[in-house]
This record gives sequence, structure tokens and C-alpha cells, in this order.
Amino acid sequence: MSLSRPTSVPSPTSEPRRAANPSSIRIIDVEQRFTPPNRPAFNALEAVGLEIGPTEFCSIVGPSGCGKSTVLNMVAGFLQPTSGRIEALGKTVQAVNTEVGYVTQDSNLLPWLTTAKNIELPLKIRGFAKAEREELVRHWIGVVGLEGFESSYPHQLSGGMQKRCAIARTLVYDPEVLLLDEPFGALDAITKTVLQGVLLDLWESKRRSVLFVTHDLNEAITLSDRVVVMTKRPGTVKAIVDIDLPRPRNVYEIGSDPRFAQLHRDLWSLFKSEI
Amino acid sequence: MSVVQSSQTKAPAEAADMDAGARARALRVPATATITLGRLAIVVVIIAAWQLCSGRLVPAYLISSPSAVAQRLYDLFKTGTVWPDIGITTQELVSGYVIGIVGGVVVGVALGSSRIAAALIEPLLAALNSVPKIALAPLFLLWFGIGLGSKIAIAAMTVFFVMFYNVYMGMGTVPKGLVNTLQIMGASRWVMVRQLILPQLSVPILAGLKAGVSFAMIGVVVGEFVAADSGLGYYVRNSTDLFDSPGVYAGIILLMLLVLIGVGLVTLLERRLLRWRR
Repeated sequence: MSLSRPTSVPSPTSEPRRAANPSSIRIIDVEQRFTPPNRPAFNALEAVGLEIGPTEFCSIVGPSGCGKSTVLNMVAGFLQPTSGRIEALGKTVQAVNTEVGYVTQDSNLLPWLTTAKNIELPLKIRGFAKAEREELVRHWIGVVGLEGFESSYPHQLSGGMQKRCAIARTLVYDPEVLLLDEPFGALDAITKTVLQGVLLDLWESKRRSVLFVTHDLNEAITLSDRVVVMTKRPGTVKAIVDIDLPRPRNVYEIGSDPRFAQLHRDLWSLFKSEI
Repeated sequence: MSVVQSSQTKAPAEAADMDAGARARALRVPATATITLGRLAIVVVIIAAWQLCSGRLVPAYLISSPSAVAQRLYDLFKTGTVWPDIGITTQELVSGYVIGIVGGVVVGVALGSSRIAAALIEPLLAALNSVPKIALAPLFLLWFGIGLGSKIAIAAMTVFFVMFYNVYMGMGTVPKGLVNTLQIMGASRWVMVRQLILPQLSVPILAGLKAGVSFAMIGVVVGEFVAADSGLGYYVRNSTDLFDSPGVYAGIILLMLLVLIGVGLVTLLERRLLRWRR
């Protein structure tokens, strides 16, 4: 592992620069080539181009191994594209991107910190004052419905509650861009739907740009403004489908909308040739 | 990093943690009154056997006897002549221990986080570690003198390697996903060490802290055996030269007590640091 230091941490008071940037994320003709030890090099991504608007909820779907998560990891700055360029909030991503929030399939909570302390950690790192930290933590524990579990450790929480905690920990510092990598992938169907509802409500109230990776077409349609379908490896953008379902959406009922079924058929026909 | 790495590397580390926890719970025998009495009975039988054998089956100058040792301990404390020796040995033990522990953690974390540094330095440390520390004791006496310095140096070096390897190997268990998570939050190097690496390595560090106590004592006693003019090791060595077997055993018992006190303190720390696992 490496301990490289991210370049800059936005101060808690930095103003959003959304107005100046029509796109929050621009992925410009990106190629990602991997050279695994003792195996031939391969292209994970080829000629990927994508722009995500400042208030847009955009999902990426694609078969396993098509490089969906690689796209997020590049936007997060964990790896650099082999060629092409990635811009987030108007700046080329060259190091770990501390202006985004990243929720992964593993909740990645620190096991030795309680729920409240986990949520407080990014605020501490970003230099929020103690009073403000406590206020924000209390607020977000309420928002994600973890009251009564403030002093529980992650291993004492269910998978869904861990996910609530991870979401609160990411949203608590109000990142301009949210990256979500199959956040609900490991959850049971009911918990998944409930948390999709929580996420949609939060998005409705905050309207940040979201880049959401999933392999679940229903989830992509339910949540997104646009769904990007990727090809199998080497991954590239096969098609972008506008999800013209009205908002605000009800995650529990949207599945019975006839338009939903039509969109699902459209996406599936694009998707199935890539499996 | 690869796409799937974060989810794959985390699982085994977690599983290992849980295994260790479950094993610790399974091994913890409930200390009921019966068990305590049983343990006491075993000690009593051993001491009684020792007393009976001494001078009858085995010459007293070889194994002394519990009563003679007890008498010697009583005299040592009554006259107070033992306190300077205890003081010196404790000082050497604590200094060498602290230096070795801190050095081991710092170098372990440093080499564990830099592949280049590890490739350059780890083989050299492995070579150094393969030298029996006892063989270096005379050299250290030359370099650091007959006083505390040489004993502290030997103890520190012995402890250093125990701690270094615990931490260095442990660095491989730090989940990439957590590293990434903290980096996105904007964590500095120090925050990364403080919030992620040290807690993640709490188990190997505590194991090193515990083992380190007795390793430090080995270093100190070796130093005092080779050349010294005070300390409990010196007292044991001197008593041996004088065929004073009660003195030898009294000294050994005091050395043992010092190590037990040290291990006890680490155990208190362990309970505090591992609260989150319960």
C-alpha cells in the first residue's frame, strides 16, 4: 500500500463552483491499459467519453469486468488514465480527488470507531470545529435513521445499517460529486429498495451530481436521469439511455409504471448482447 | 489497483480477525474458584517437592530450597541492599523496551508503506537479525561501556526486531479499501497512521508489546552477565560465581516478577485498546 498524500483538501467553507462548470465530471476519450504481472497487458477501457451534469444522477451499467468501477476509480483519482483526460469540477484529476465522496460495495467503515465517530471522521480530517461536527453528526444520524446506534461499532450493525452509516459518512461533508460503486450490491432486496429510497430523497434535497455503478438494471432505471450502457471488455460507452420517468419518484411503486417496463426492455436489449 | 481488489483483499483480513477473536474467546477458561484453587495446589505441590528433594535427593548447592530462597528474599528486602539492583535493571529494561518498541513500529510502518524502502532495507535487517544478539553483547559493551548504555542497547535491539516484524508483516493486512476511503476524505500521512494503521495493527502491536517484555529482559540479563557492576542479572551471575544458590534463585525470581509486572501492564493496555472488538 502507499500513503501518498492527496494534493488539496477543500476547506469546509469553500463555495460550490457549479455555476461556472456546465459539467461536474468530464471523461474525455479515456483509455485504461492494465499490465498485470506475468500476464499479457489488456485494455480495460477504450475511448470512453462521458459528461455528467452538476445536478445529474447518472448510472453506469455493464457486464462484470467491463471497467465500470475503473471509471469511478479514475474520477476518484486512485488511478490515472493511460490516455485521455478526466475533469472533475473543471479541474483535471491528477491525484486523489478529495472533492468527491465515494461509497463502495464494502462499507469500509473503520471497525474500531462507533457509528458517530465514523461519521465524524471526515469532518475531523477536514478541520470542522467540534461544535459543528457534533451538530452535523447528530443531523446525519437522524437523516439515515441510525438513532440509538450512535455508539455501536460496525460489527454490531446489520449490512443495511452499515450502508446507512457509510452513506452518512460520505454525505456529511457535502461533496460536490458523489461516486457510488454498487453500494447496495450485497444487500437483500427489501433493504436495497429502502436504501434506494433514502438515497433518492437525499439526492432530491441536495441535487449533487451522482455517478452510480450497478449491474442491476431496475436500480439504474429507478434512480437515474441517464443510464450509460457499457460494452464488455474492453469497455466503452455503447449507448446512453435517457430515463424520462417523472420526479420525484417513489422507489416502491415506480416498477409498475408501464414506461419503466419499456425502459427496462430497451436497456436489456442493449445489455444482453454484451454478456 | 484493480477493479475488484478492494472487495477481495478485505474479506480474508476480516475473516482472520474474527478467527483470532473466536479463538481467544474459546481459549479463555473461566477463572472459577475451583480453577484458582487447582492452580494454587499445583504450585504448592511443586514447592513442597522442591523442599523435600533439596539436600536429600539433590545437593542443596544445586537447587537451593524454597525456605532458603524465601529467607534470602526476606533478607534482601529487609536490608534494602537489593533495591539499587532492582532500580538499575528496571531502568535498563524500560529504556531498552521503549526504544526497541518505538523503533520497531516506526521502521515497520515506514518499510510497510514504501515498496522501495522495503526492497532496499528489509534484507539488511533480516541479515542483522540473523546474528545471535548474545554474540553482539561483548561488542556493545565495547561501544556503550560497562554501565546502563550497553544493556539498553542490547535490549532495544532484541525488542526492535520482534516489533519490527510484527508491524512490517501486519502492514500487508491494511485493507486497500480503507486506505482509499481515508484518502478521499483528505487524510494526511499522520492521520492515516493514527486513524487507520495503528488501530488496524493493534493486535500484532500488542503481541509485540507482550513478547517484547521478556525479550527486553533477555537483552538486559545477557548484558549484565557479560559485564556489569550492578543489576539483578549481575546479582544472579555473582551469586553463581560464589556458589550461593539461594541468591541465584532469589535473583531469578525477582527477574521473573519484573517481567510479570511488565506483561501485566501490557495486558491492561490490551483490554483498553481492544474494547471495540467485543
